Amino acid sequence: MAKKVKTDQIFVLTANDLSSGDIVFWSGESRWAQEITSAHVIAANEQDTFTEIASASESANEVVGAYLTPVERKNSDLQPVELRERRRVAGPSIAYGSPVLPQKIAA
Amino acid sequence: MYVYDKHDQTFVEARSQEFRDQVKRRLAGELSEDEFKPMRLMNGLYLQLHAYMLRVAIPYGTLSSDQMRKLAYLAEKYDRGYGHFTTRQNIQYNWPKLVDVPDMLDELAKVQMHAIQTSGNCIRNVTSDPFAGVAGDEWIDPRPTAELLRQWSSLHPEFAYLPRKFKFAVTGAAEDRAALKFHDIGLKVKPGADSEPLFEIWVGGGQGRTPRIAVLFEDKVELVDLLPKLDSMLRVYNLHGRRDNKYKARIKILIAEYGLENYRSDVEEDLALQSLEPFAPAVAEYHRIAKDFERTDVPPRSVSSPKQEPQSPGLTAWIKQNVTSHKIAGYGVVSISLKPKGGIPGDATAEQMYALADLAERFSLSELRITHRQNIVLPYVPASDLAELYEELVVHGLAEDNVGLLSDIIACPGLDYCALATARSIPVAQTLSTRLRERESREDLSGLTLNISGCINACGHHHAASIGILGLNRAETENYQITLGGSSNDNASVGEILGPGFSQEEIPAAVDRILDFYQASKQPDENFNQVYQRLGKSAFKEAVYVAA
Repeated sequence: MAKKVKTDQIFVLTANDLSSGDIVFWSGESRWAQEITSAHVIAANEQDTFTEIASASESANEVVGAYLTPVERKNSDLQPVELRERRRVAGPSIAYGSPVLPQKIAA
Repeated sequence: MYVYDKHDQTFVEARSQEFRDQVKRRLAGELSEDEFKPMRLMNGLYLQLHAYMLRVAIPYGTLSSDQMRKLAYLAEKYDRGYGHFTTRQNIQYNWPKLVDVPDMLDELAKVQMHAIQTSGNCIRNVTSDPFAGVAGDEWIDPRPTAELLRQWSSLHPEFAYLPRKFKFAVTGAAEDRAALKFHDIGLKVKPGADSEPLFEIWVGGGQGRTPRIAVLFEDKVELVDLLPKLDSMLRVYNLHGRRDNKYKARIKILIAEYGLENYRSDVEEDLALQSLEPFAPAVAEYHRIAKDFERTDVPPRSVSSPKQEPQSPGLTAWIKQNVTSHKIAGYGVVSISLKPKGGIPGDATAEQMYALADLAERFSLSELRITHRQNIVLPYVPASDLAELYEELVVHGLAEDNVGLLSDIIACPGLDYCALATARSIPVAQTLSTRLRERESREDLSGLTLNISGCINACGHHHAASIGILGLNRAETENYQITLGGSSNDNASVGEILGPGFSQEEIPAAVDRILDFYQASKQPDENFNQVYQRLGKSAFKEAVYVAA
């Protein structure tokens, strides 16, 4: 059963770029942007329209795995409601790819 | 090491070319994502939380220095300068671009590697003992069996769409260093008459949301009967395994619901109908493969070097903790920890991988292994070279002397990378390893393990640890459940859930209370799981929750 959505819930449309795999957000200007700050805010009653945009963009091989995710405004910034989406937007929380500094050889 | 013959090489190159064409068609819009997804998954390419992820197979965890150098090159050229070694003895690249993956597969094919069947509902990369061929307690080298299975299962047309993924492990030593009983099928190889291998077949083990310890299906299976038997075992699973619910689709559920005796009876019935002709070459092929693993180039070494230099405390501690006795006198098996204090379990930078390739050439007959505990092994290091090797490892940040200690933590990528994860595991591992390294400097924390998974799929093997940590999503907040008493050794056991979960910030103190109680309660020569079994969950629960 579909989850009941509050009428004032807002969303953004997100996906991954087909070629690079990068996370992208629908900017509302017939293009996808890499930052959530550029995302077009979608009202609850607009979901069907943007689901169609997502399908069209997938069919046009621009993006893969497009979906709407609920967001909220925090200090005028958009922040995903779901933990998984918050991590997806923020990126890994760890300093990857940098080796732990060599230890000193004990005398 | 096994060297590809012409057939192997042609097969891998053809597969790489095939995938190049598939990617080209996908990017041109000739294939939809629904059509392309099964193809990319069969070549180890996932779409993860932030990007594509390519999982490369390291068959039974064995690598040559040239292969390790190639893995470093891929990390440097196509990824972000690092890779992640997994509990399946594979390596994952977290940031490849789809357009680059065909080139990556071509590069892998040049060194006899690929990413085939590292994903999908098929027989996955066969894992084995990282000390295979060099362990002092080994009965028989498990790698020829593992390679035979690789050849049998690679693109096996009947088993390409099983009800669910299928994992094999093979060991041939007294100590289980491959978590055999947590596999769909585990093979324990022992020598039979005329030193021919005899197999114990264990079936129905696994982790995930329904952890199960494998049960003995049959012992003393002869080599000539092995592949027909496995073929029938897979066929019966393929027919009867559930396809209506992916959480109940693994063979462990079939064994539990259908019953071992019914399953065994169906296998015997199927076996009686099989033509054995396709399997006729298997025995000769096993012996051909086995010859490749026989090292005849190991120079004799003196047991002790004539001039004993005084050792630094760091070297002494590292030898004590990270070097295991070798079956050949004068050599040691060196485990290189990928668990530095505060580091990311299993991660290695391209620079470190290049260094490991060079060090394997200088010190270990150009051979390396990957362990299911996410460490690296140099299997042929002369005892007289240990000090020089240690100094090189220090330079590259690879000299942590904690192999087999509690800070030798297994952790899956968790919510920092994984699309399935419900919580992060790496930051928890980093915090705990920092605290535990300090604690290990004061007290003995050997003989117990700590594993962390970022979701119930249990890639971080939390069920199989003395202390397991499972990251969950509770109302969009990370929450961590603790399990106690698990083990992946020969007396395998599944950890029990201790009680309500903790926040990420609360976990280090909770682990401290578990360790405090264990240290205060243990009797001489008792390990953690023995203390847990003796005192029971309630005693630990009281120590952890009431004392909080």
